[in-house]
Amino acid sequence: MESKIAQWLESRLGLKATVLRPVPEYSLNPFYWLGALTVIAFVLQAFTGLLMLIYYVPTTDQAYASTLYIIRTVPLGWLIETVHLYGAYAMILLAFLHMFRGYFVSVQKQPREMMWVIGMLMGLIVLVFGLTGYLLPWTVVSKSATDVSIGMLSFLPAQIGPVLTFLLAGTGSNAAELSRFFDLHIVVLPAVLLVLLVVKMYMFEVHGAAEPSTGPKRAKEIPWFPNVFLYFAMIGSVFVAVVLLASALFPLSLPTEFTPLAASVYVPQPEWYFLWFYQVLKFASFEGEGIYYALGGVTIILALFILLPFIDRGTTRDAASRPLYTTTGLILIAELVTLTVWGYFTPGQVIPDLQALVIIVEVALVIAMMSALTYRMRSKMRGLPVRGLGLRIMALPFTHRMITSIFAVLLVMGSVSLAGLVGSLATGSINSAAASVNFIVLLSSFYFMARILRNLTLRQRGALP
Amino acid sequence: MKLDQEAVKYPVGWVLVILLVTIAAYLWLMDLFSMQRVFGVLLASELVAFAMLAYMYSKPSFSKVSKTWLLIGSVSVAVFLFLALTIATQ
Repeated sequence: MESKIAQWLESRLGLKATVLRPVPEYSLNPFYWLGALTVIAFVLQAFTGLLMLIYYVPTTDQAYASTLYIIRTVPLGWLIETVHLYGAYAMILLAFLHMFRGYFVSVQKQPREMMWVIGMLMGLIVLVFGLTGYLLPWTVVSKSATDVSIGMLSFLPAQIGPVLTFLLAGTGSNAAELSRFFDLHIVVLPAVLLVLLVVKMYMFEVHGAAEPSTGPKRAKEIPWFPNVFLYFAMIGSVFVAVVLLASALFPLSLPTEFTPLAASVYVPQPEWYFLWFYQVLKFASFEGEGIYYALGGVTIILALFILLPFIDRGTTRDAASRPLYTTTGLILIAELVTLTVWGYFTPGQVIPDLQALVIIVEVALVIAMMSALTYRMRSKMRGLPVRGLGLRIMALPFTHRMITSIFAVLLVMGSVSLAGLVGSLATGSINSAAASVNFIVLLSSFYFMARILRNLTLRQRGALP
Repeated sequence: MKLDQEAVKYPVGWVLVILLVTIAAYLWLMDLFSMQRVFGVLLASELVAFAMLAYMYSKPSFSKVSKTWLLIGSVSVAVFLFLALTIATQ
């Protein structure tokens, strides 16, 4: 029966004559579809955004009232509003995941350098989407955070700051700011994103999906219709179902309306995807004139990331054979997560330099050391059969009573130290001596646990007596 | 007893199609103002059921369809329907 339906659709719609190329079998894996899921999130945003546009009024006296009207009076209003919010979160998260997945499997290598650059630009536009959309409900939370962002633009060098400030905030009045953000959010950014998407899709059709960095490169090609189309429909449906379920279970509650009085007692804090940057700006050294260094540093890291294909010129794509880039990526992710969590728990607090240094360096060191141990262990194992090793390694310490006890003690010590560090991070007050002790205990316990695992694994494989 | 895999495909497909149509009809008839949370959960279950159908037909034969995924999908739909019922009766 399905073949008849497929035949009918194909003959009427010409689906098999589609320009989309067949895809290799290995790419029918959700990790290959993170970019497509980001596009689905964008379509979901466009759909819910257009529905809200029927009622939303982008003026300072009507923006909040019309948002409230959508939530309280319009049928399915708050569901659409919540789906739009969570869809934005999902889109940003997927864009980050897509970027880091690409980084670790080196999709940016020849001939896909420009796809990486365009993808990075699209990622930046997604973040600006978040920034501009955040202001539109005109709540005290969104307006205060946006004002902080616009204020930072004035620190940009030469004429970039004034020009960007004018483009975003106009002459400085609230009405001009809201109007410009609205125009950017619903016209300019979608148009630019669509153009970049078309260019990237064209390049994707030319170059195809990147081969796996390890394992067999040749695979059977699957036609776009019906197999890939149905796969795409499946993952898209599951994604939208997750967003809908989250929206239904955790509905949006709109903060209070922006008024100068309400803003005067509110500590501005950005959305989660900008918290890492917000936290960096709160470091004591970056207060006042020091903001130039923070902006400069973040811009340099971003530029290096955009230009990565022209910096990392090696031909190896396997993450296991690229310790420097893999470790750098892991450190970057760990720092982003740490700064985000830290920023969430310490709104408005200026972070002393020593504390900032201890946390940033500790996180980097822990990740670097774990990465180094993993690579060292891997090099020792080279030449030994590792098939099926996986999680079995984790069970090895528990095969002898004495080793189990030692391992358990180390595990408890490491966990307590880690909890101490995270706890001090959460409360925002850190004692340097206690942090140093915790740090040393944490590293030592990690080191000895890794040694035990390594020796047991090697012994089991017959490499040690 | 060995099941004829392709023979099982059609009943499973029809059950999913009936479920999809039933939920769609209920979504069409329900009060869209007072039952927004129920609408969200039911639409999510509709999409998961559709995803199961798409998954089944994306494979060349039913023997290549993972029964574990079908089970996870079925349990998810059941849980979503139970959630919708719970929210509706609150």
